[in-house]
Amino acid sequence: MATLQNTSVHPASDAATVMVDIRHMNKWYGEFQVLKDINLRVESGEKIVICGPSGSGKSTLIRCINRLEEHQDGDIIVDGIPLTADVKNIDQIRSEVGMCFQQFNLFPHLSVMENCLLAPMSVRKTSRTEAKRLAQHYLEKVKIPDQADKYPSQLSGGQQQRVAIARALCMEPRIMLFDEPTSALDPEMISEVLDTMAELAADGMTMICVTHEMGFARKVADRVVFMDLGCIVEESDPDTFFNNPKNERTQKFLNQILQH
Amino acid sequence: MTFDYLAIWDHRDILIDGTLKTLLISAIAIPAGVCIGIFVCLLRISNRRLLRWPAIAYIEIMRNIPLLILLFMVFYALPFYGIRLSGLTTGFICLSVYGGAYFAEVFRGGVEAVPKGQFDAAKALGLKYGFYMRRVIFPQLYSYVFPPATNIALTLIKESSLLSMITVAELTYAAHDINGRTFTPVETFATIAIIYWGISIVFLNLTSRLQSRIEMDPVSQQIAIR
Repeated sequence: MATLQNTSVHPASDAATVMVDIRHMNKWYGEFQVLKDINLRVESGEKIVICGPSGSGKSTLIRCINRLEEHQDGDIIVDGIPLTADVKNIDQIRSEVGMCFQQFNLFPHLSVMENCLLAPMSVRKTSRTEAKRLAQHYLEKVKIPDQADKYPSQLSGGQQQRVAIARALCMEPRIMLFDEPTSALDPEMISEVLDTMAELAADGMTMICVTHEMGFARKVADRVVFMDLGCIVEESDPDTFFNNPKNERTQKFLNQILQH
Repeated sequence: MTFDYLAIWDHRDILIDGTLKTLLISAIAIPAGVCIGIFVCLLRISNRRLLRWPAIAYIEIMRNIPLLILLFMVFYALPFYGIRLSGLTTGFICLSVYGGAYFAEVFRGGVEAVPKGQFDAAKALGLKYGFYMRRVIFPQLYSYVFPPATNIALTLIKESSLLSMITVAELTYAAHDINGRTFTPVETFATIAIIYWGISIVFLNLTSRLQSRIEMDPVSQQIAIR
């Protein structure tokens, strides 16, 4: 199995299919280096699961992809657009990259529908009717079509996360980022969110998920990326990753989380 | 000692004028202070030093000098530099600018109380700064900001009495005037104390009604898109 880790020279011909290309990226918080020489290439339609112990930089890494965090060194290219301090590029990338968070982060003062309308209408300049149709479509897709007029606080955690997914999808993004989407959920609600994500994956969405749900990784991921101490330690297909991990730290991590 | 009602009643015109002027000053200075506060708050929370530092300087200066000195500087010192403002104009400006610094700090506290995830989500959706501040962040501030902002507004109403020191014929000035004519300090100052108290009570009543309306009805926080 060829790893894509050290391919710093890409042939120009397949550039169109590379959705996220991170090359030699470094990030510091003051003196502390959180990300060290990160290289990651995600092709169109690929599903990547990033896992690793807490503090390993997984969330920071995916938050760099839409510039919620700033990287200091190296290149990040999202769908052909280089991520620099250029506000135009950042805006363009953000409009193409959807994101779901651990704490859902729905806007509490807006109804489910308004949450979904806000971005398409203000960023894409979609008409209200069209945006509503879009929102209804995606709310049906995440199986909560009847809650459009409710407020986030009236929904369960699992429903809130599914609304958050629908809200992101209303921008019709080319890539979806998930930052521990099930970590704040009660156990019985985890599967409804994972099912929604699996369906999205089956539709061909390019996805990068930080998650501890190893069952999801096994079933859905094309590649599993293991991070520790700010480095990508191992990167392989789920089969190899779970059954035949090469790195000692990966083995230790898997032993810890899979023994239950 | 008897309470000389007549001394007050005979000069009710002066009292009514003074009360109206106090109300007028408050009605202008409070909204103006809120506007200044929002503007300065936005500068204060900016990532750019060039915007942030002037805001910090402004807030620190305004909070650390007495309002009375500010009034004296504008009213008595500025004419030496060729700027001559009437007492009432000085009062409007100083009270707004003074209140603005306090409002700015209260609003900043409110913005910082909004969970960071709200900013993350807004940015991740591609919303522009001005848009998400207006539609996502500020609507969530009301409940954090309302009680302390009400306090500041109330303080401004009462501090407006200092304008009597720069010849503005508001309520306190009216009291001095009546007392000078009738020498009834007990009656006059008790009366204006009651009037100030009444204004404050009415004001608090209005704001608490407004606040409960905002809190009870989430729909009232929704502003139709465009």
